[in-house]
Amino acid sequence: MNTVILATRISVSQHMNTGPRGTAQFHEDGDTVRRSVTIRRPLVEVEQQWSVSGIPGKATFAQAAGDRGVELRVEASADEQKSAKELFGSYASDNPGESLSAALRQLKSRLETGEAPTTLGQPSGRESANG
Amino acid sequence: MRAVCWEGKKDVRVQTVPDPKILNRRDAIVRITSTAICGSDLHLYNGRIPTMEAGDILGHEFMGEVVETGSGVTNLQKGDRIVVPFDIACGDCLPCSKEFYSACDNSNPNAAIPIEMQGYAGAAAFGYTKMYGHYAGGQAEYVRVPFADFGPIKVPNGLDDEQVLFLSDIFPTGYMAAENANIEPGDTVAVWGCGPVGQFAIRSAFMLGAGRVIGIDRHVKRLRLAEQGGAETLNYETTKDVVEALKDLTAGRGPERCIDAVGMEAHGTSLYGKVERAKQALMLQLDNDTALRQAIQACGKGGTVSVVGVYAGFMDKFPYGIMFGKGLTLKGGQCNTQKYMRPLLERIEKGEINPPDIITHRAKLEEAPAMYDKFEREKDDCVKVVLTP
Repeated sequence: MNTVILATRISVSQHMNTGPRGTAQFHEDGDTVRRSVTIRRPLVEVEQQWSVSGIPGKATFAQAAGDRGVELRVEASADEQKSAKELFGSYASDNPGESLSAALRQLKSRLETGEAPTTLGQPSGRESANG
Repeated sequence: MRAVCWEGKKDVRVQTVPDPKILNRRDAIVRITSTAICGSDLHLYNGRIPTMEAGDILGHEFMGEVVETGSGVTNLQKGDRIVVPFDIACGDCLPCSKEFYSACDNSNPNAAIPIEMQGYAGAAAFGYTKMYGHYAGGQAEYVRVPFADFGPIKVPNGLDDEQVLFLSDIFPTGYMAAENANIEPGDTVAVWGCGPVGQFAIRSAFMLGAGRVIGIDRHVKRLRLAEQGGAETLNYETTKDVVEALKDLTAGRGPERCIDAVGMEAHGTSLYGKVERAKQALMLQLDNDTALRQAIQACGKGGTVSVVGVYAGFMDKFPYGIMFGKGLTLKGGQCNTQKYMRPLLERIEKGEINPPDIITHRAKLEEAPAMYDKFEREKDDCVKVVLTP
């Protein structure tokens, strides 16, 4: 089922260097997922890491307002996103939107911090219970 | 190693578990020398917070000695004594760049869970739920500290553990509560909850210029500690109406600043408070807003209500109309601990505050189950428990 959401026209102040943006649109249907993330790294670095990330989908890049980093938006078919699950293992779900979100979060973390957060391999009382 | 593990509601056990290891290059492994039980641990103990799993290692207030570092940690070395902030922050993301460390974008590997449940993910924390990152906690002999190059601070020589341990959580949390209250010189500040965080909020309010501080609780020991910190006190079990009492103490104005250091497990002796507790018991709601509601009702016109008590979900019938009519400012949140640790360490070094004053119980790690019971049931005048492995 197609779901089209139209936002009201956004008027932008003259002194913002992005200029007027026009009507905002967000389009997502059952076959397509669209997710985004803001990454606090230079644009060239984000573009380069995206190109080797292996995350399926079509990406667009923009500078976030207020010097907040790079806005990376990805649109992909649901089928494409199921393969994203294999990129990062057990935390992914079968929901294609969630898989894409998780993949983008990992990309962001690696770019901003040099690593992806993990607790895999940490101790717990479950190992104690299982001997 | 030995570690305090959550096994279910009101069931914690000290178990033998594997030692932690370096998992990422910015990790450090710390041998714990002192660790504390927090009021927030009681929310887990009482089974109030979802996504705990049997076997999770508890504890988010701890300090110790560095025994190993990952290749990305160059500011710490083996043998350094450090205090570790309870919330885990990378220091690199947009929220961290604005000192909003409790909202770190990068520390929670399970961010999908809180995003699904509540639309956003904040920073992870040690020793808490899967939703908050599922990191093994520090009520143990050893702990793995992620982003160790950013969060922890080194302890200067000459300060013992008890003087600095509370920089991990409750002192910064109490201080942030007072800071968020926008205290102006001479203000009257009311603090709901004279537990450990409330005690530091009281002392911090005076540091920030309060003229009077009124502490509200029902436990005599806590009220006496509050008085030791300079506060006047109200016992809500013997006060017919706390809101009216505060208005009387301020000749009708109400306190200019109100701090909620109670959170979701408020008791409340009024009929309203009893109804709220019944709703919690029946799982009709997660949060009991008795303390927060009183704070909003009591606060003087144009004042500020600062919330550091932990709330987990939604509230029923929140008095926003009163807030709107009085033009109140409401500010709350988890503590941005990393922002406050060094400045508050300086205050400790200068002798402006003596954190060990609030410790009432000291025990070995193996006694943790008994200490949890004592803390939760407020037995034996228990206010703050420090454990040593």
